[in-house]
Amino acid sequence: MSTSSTTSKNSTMSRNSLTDAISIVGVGESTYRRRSSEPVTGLITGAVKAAVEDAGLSLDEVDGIVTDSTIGPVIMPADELAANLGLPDRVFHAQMSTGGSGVVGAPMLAAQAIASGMAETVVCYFGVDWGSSAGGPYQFHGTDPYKATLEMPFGFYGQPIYFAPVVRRYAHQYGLTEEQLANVAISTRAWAALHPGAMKRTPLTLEDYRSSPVLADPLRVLDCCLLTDGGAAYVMTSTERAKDLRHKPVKVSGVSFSSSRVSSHSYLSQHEDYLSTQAQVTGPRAMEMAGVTPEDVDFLEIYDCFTISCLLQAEDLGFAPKGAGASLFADGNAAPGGRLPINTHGGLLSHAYVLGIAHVVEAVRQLRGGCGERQVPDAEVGLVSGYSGWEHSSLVLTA
Amino acid sequence: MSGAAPSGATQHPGSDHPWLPDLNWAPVAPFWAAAREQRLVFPRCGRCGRFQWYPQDMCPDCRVMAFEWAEVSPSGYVFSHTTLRRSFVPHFDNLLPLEIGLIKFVHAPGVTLVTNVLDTPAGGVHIDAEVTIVFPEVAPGVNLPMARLC
Repeated sequence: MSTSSTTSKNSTMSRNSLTDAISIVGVGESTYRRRSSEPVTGLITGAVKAAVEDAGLSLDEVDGIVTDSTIGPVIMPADELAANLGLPDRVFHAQMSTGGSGVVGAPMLAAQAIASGMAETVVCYFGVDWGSSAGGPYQFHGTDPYKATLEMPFGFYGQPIYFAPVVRRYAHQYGLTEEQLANVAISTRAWAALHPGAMKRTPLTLEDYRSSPVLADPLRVLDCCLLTDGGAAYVMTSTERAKDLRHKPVKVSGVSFSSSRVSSHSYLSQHEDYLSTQAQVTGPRAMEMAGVTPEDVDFLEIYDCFTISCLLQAEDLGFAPKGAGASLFADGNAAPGGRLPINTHGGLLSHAYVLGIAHVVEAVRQLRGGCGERQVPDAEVGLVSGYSGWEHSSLVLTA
Repeated sequence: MSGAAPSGATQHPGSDHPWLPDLNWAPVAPFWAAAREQRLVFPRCGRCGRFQWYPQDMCPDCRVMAFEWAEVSPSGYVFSHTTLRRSFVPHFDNLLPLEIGLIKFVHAPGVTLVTNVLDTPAGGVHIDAEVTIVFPEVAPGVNLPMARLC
């Protein structure tokens, strides 16, 4: 990406008519389990109903639905969700890129629909049954013929295997110790220990990390996200209307999406910029749209599919120089009580692997206040980072 | 790990190699045909010379659809690597631990070949190590490009 194009787009993305135009007014989640006894469609439907109730709205008022473009629509198409919920007149339906970048970037679409008057109440939903389904998240990639033909014959299949050489290259280029990588897992688990809904709540030690099995050197099981059956949802409406609803509105102050010029077929192996993510574009743009700088951000919710991917995005968003992301997790800096809390619900590593939507839900809860032991003091600005390999969304939420 | 064979690939549990490419899948068929002849080829733009891997229709640099398969020197180097301890591909278990290398080529910038590094003990590969690509026949009529340390 050239500096000049970034500059010109930044100037068009500074505070604009969509800054603070909509708010997130309701959140809902299923129970998260490795294997749920309920079908995933039921988990999603229940989460949406809970989110609408949390907002103090009626399901009859929901007139728009948005999810990601690749996973949500396969697991539960929007029309199936609308039929279950009995939505009487769904006037808006959109899909926003893949997985984590989709569910974090979704407010970009909802804001346009709501600000234009097209829709009034838009729900973002997502869910997976990748804890229990055959092949889980790997099988999703195995359906790609490029992957099946050019990578699987060599055993290069399954997300942990793609990220192991990323760690190797990063360590070669910038230096990275086992302890620095472990700090990400340990810090994230410390947050999960404070969250009653997190799947893994037992605090971790460096010894626990070192005894965790290696899947692909140097990546250990504890570097990897969980596998989860679960669903979540959040409800958006205009900030004007939000003022009269149940909770303090959490404003969508900035949102940005960017895709590099590689397609999903590459699965990281062909990325020219192997150690960077599109967060280097979306982070600055979303913060500029919100009129904030990294110094204003009180906490980060980062798509931590692996410990290393969390470090890469933290750097790319602008919170540490490239190669120095581990410093954010040193000395408990990102842990409860730390200077810059990261993944305050326990993230994909320890809370649940629902690809970023729980990161949005958690940011909303922190900005409302009342998170008990895990509440970030005086939380006013939160940044959510949604990743899907070649695509990325950043979302700035404010109290 | 379970999972049905996706399009573009076939499983040959009877062969020594557990997961083989579909040699006839059009977008990369010339790659496998060349490997059968012990040659390494990648798509190169006929207009600007950019190498494009994996194949696509249009060159993202000059926006012309004129890719040709060009033979390149099999000399490369390790860009990164890992040792596979647990496979998510079915039937790989008796190949473990397996060295996987991401191989780059000085004369084909932009290309990364995902492959295995042959005849090396676990942990014997390092970044920047020079390799040459060889083409072992892993099943009757199927030659896979693999890396051997120089």
